Amino acid sequence: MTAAPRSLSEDIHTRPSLGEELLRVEGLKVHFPVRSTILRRQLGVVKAVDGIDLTLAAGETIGLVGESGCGKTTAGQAILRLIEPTAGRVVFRGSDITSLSGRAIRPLRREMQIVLQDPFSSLDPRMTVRSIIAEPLLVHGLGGNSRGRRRRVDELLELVGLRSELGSRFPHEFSGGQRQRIGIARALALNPQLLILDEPISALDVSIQAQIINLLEGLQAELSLAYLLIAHDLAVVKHICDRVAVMYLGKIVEAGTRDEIYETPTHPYTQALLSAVPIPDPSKRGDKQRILLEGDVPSPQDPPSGCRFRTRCWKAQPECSTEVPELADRGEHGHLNACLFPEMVERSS
Amino acid sequence: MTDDLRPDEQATDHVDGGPVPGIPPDQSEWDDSLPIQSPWRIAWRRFKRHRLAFGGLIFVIILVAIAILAPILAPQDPNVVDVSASRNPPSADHLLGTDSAGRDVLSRLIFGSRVSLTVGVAAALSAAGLGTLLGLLAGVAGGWIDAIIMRVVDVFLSFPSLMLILLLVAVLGPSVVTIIVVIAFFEWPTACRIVRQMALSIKEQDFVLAARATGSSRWRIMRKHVAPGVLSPLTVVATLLSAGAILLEAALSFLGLGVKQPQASWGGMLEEAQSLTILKEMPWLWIPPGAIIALTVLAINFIGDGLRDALDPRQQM
Amino acid sequence: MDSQTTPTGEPLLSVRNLSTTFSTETGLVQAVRNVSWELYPGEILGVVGESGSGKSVTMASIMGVVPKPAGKVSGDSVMFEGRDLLKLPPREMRKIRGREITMIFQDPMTAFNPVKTIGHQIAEAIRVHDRRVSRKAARARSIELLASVGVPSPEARYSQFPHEYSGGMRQRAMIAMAIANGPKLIIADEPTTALDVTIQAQVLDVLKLIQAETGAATILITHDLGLISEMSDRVLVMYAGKVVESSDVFSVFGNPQHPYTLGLLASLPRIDTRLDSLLSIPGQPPSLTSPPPGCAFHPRCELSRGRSECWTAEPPLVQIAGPTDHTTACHFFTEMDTEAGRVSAMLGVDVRSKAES
Repeated sequence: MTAAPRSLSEDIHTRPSLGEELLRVEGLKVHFPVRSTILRRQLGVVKAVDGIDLTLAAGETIGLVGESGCGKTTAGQAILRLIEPTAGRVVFRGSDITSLSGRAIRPLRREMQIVLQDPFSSLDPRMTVRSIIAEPLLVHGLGGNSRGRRRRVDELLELVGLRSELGSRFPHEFSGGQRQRIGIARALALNPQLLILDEPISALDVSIQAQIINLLEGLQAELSLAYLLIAHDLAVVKHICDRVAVMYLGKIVEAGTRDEIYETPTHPYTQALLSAVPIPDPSKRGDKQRILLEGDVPSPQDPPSGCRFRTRCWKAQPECSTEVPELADRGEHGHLNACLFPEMVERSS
Repeated sequence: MTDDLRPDEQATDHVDGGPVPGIPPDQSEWDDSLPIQSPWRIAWRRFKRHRLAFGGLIFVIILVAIAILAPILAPQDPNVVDVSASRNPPSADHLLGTDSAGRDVLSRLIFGSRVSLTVGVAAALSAAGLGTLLGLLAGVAGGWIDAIIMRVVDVFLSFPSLMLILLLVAVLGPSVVTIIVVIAFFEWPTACRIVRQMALSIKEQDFVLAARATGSSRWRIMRKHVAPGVLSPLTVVATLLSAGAILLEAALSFLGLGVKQPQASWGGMLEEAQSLTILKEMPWLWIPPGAIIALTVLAINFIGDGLRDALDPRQQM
Repeated sequence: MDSQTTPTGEPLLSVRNLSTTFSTETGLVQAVRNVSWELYPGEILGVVGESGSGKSVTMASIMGVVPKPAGKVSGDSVMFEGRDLLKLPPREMRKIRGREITMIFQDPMTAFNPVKTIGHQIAEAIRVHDRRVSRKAARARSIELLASVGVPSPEARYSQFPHEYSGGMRQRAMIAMAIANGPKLIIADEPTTALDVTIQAQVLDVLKLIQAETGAATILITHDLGLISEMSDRVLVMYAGKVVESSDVFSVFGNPQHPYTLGLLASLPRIDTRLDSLLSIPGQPPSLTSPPPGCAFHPRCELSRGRSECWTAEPPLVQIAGPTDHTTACHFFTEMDTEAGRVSAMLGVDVRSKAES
């Protein structure tokens, strides 16, 4: 391990070759103090993200799935340093960015961008589409003069499938799907290598979701982008992602390739999650055994000891409350899981 | 509907080169003849529909015109004393009669609008300006800066401000400038609170998160996103503050702490109404200034209401 | 479980030419445009559509809860057990709401009064419709109801406030309240949309169980085709304020007869099968102030391909010859098999359900 550099090298702006490691996250933790309302006394800690590891290669798509409150959004923002990590390291193309100052991290913003969930609140209602997309260029002094920026914005609008004449209009004149295209154009303005997609389609109508999924896939092929997709929709993740990590209460409980996770899940939580997804085919109604989990997700302020899933797990043993299962390859499954009693379940598809 | 409105033809209508292969275009129908709906244009359209507010606006515009054209419009010199014509009832010479010093009431009313409007606009603008500056600072910086500013605001808002205003005016000596400064000094906390609250809610919006992700500095986010966002509630507050300032000026002049005699002001004209005989027997001395103050304040408040509805961020644009 | 029968006998609810409009700043919104359909006793009718398809407004119109004066409901009739709900005086309507017809909403946090305990609100719902029930009896019945929807330790939960319940528990309590007076019809409007998938599974399980136990006819409104497929007996597909297709669930998923239905199936990422790509429906949902002329779907339709009929004539909802009661509103539905073949070739799999009985 090398000492944290004080600034980023210029190397990060060169395009990596496909498959080269882009991002590495090691033991990332984000803890939020809980304070009383009046005296601001610290009452406890919410362990929103409690030690996760990830790697992402250039041109690859990895999915971070989990239910609300599992910490996936916090993890995404901590990787971008929009939230300060409590512990752990985020390494982008070999440079540790965890301890860089706000100013020193700015060059990195050109390479890592985010697309947010809500197409309504993610665009400033008082700016024209053109100035929204041009803002990143202005911030980084890129795109040359105003004429050059104009050309770049036109190019970006075309790239996301919008007519460039629409640039002089305001966000509220567009529908949800079109606004999401504008948000994607903004994220692409700086020509990044990595996009963090935080639930990019879950706020959209069913018939529009596929448009955005196809757009993202097309852009990935065209621009060799790497995606970190944060989502709760398991079908979407299955459709786009090469690799998948399943989160529960701040920890990754299972990680592997798409086929490993969807065809042969080993962690009981993954199995329950997959079995709960309704299938749009009435002829398959009786085919699968639905695993109904008991109760609700415990509070991340006071997670269960040992394995965090044990309170809802039908296989829980006494060991589960004392031993914290590490995310590891437990043999014979070929991928990582965090269960003391993993079991491979073949799922028909 | 004709053939050339078909969307599939529109989709190929791109200016340079057309859609990128492999990337699905948006393909929705879009009527380019529709005017661009900027937020301010929408607000104006909504404001116009608010009849009372629109009426109020016209009233205030006329009042401003009167104030500017006062020397042309006033039938007499407002400050010429004519002791022989003291407290004359309305007549052909003096449409609204004369006051105790024999000055023409109508002319004094017309010139008095200058004082009221100046005080109203200047005090409201300075209060709103100071409030915005401190409110933005508190909202964007947060932490101890926020805590200090907000405690100061609390202190200001818990004082009986009228008494302090009276005291300050008495100490500094009455004049238009004093009144403006003193009113602004006590009214900024209202603007400050609203601006801070708005700034805090804008900070939580996703577009600010997106701006941070692109590497925008705090200063840039404040300038480009937060400040324009607080502008609309601020307009409403400033309007209502100016109504309050006009009332305060009238009250101060009524108590003899307003502009110096012989300069005409509406509140000063009311000062005469402190005597019971005048109240009972000489209504031309106090009804016109009283009515015009009430109407002006009402008109401005209507404008404020209309602006509030027109600029309501909760309403869909 | 897979009882697939074409419903016979008298419908419980029969909607005839219902229309609902809202006057807004930007013009008259035609939220529901002349829809007719039936609901039979004991069945689960799935109503699927995107936002703005008119599915929720249809139900609000039936229940008489369309906000006035902006909203205006018109139509021939909404017959419910021999009574026309459109012509019923508000007093009578209030008696039906909450007793014979009840609703389950998407967000139970706003459906419950935050300052009263859950148990109190369920007991009140019972006593509002029958004053003869004593407070004590209402309490006992409420606890029983909470237990029946799987709320653990219902005695203690009775005296808790809505914010003390988790999302899934609140939705269970909502179901308990909905069945408190033995309704004949339950309208569930996106009942699980706000819930996580594992909690959704729990709530759906309760909903199914309750439906089987009470035998109440249920209307399930959702945008989720998966839910429709797993829960409902019959399906209405709505688009731009109209019903564009209806049939039993197996026919709709196995042999869709409207290009919109097929388009939805082809644009859906699947967990049960691998698609080569998704076929998105182009364009955006239409404006309801000025819906496209003719067939509202024609600007986005692959089957229309610019044929003039589609934008000059409005396709009626017609019966398709066959064993099931399958209707569609498409001029060219006879080409749907070829269209489905084309779609399957592009996706690499046939997205239609296999079981055609």
